[in-house]
Amino acid sequence: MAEPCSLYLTEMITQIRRKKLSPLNLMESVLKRIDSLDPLIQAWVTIDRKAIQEEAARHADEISRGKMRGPLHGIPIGVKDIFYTAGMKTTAGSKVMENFIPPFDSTAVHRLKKAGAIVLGKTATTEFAHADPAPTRNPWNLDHTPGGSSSGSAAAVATCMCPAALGSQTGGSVLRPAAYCGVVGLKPTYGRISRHGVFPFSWTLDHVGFFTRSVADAAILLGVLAGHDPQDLSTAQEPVPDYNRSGKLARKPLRIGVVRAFYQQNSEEQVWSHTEKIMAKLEKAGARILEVKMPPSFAAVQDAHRIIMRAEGAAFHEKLFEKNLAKYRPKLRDLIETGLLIPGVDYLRAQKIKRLFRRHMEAVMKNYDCLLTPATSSPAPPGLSSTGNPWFQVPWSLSGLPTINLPSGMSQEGLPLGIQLIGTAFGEGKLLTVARWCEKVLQVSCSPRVGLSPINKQGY
Amino acid sequence: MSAEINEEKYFKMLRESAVQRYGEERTKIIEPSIRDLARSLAVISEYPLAMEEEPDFYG
Repeated sequence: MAEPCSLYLTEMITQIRRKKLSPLNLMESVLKRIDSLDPLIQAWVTIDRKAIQEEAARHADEISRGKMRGPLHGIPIGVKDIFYTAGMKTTAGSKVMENFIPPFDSTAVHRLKKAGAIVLGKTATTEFAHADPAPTRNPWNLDHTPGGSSSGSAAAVATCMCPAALGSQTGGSVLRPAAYCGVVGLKPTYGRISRHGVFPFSWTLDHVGFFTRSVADAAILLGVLAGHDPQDLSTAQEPVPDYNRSGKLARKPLRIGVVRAFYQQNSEEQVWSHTEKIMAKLEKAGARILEVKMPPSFAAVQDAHRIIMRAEGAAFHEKLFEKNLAKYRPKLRDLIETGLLIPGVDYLRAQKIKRLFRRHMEAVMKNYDCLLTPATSSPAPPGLSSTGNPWFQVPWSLSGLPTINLPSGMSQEGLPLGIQLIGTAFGEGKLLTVARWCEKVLQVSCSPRVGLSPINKQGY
Repeated sequence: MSAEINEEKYFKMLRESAVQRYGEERTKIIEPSIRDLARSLAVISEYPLAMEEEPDFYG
């Protein structure tokens, strides 16, 4: 029988419901996995063993009495260390907050707990989710970055230290580490999941997202996390559908729009040729692959994003920075200092471009079931001083459209590659349906043998 | 105004502001980022926007 920690989230749920797996055994299995791998990977910053073992025992006891709190009863989930967790340190990967213990749970954590999940611990993040790296290493090659800012969450899920973990994305902080580590990463529509109780980076760009090892697992987690929150004004009133139902696609054949502009010219050769092979495979399986003509506003999205992120990041940190200058690391310090120089009129112009681009994309998306790009311009780069470049994800963080990374194969160096699928605003149901179909066609399941060669390398 | 002139205008403005806030020594350190920012500000200032266009915050 497979080690409980290596089961998919959906399998864990089924086995717990059928009483074939106890939350206590599952917790023991993931802790054993963490003990053996985390000294190398460094995905975790806080784990309160006694508390979570007691919590797992409580969950096991409840099952024996016929009580299930919700769909995630007894499932251990990792939480990026920028989400408030009541009574548990939340450092945001920074010396500035090294002793901060929040008095309440972020809404996302509250919803996980309400659904029966156990917060396994806090995962490593870059400083305040910006660019100063966490110590986490890429499980496929320890000398490469796992990506960031949600570095620990992606690496922990990739190595089965937990079946799912929360992350966040302002530029490319979910999709990029997901691609570099070979896992599914979902960034839903802006406003789909509450950001209440999450350290902000840039209020109008921040998205809560998460990592799993399959699309079906992502659908379960989204169902738990999505929905309006009166404590977060940016959350939408849009109804939350049942994402677990594999919806039927209204249009057959499936129409996938490929974004060549910008993506082809900025991809490493092996990345673009891999993406073309993926397109051919999807086409052979019945999809129509069509080239997308991007709107003129696409040319300004990277610059608009840079201005908004710097200005809002600086606005959030200004007072903290004044008091704690010496504790800030160089990349965030640079962002704050330059962000403080941005004139208000220019910031508002960037916000106008953001709105225009979203409107343009709404029109473009009417012709497709989803768009497709390579998730990243290269496989995970060597070195730990940078977490890679977010530019392939930036347009979708700016537009707020939902995106998902699907592992799609391996690079020449034996590192994972991924494709990024982009859906319509609040069209996560359809996006997940398309992603499920692609996942089935591509049949790629990545699983690193930490620090060594991969177990089941499936290149194209 | 050409893109280069516009970028230089922004760079000069940002640099002067940085010297006032952080001093010459620190400004020199962050000068590459000031240059990047000036380039981005020049790009978006040249982008044609309709008079009716409004900024977006939580949309």
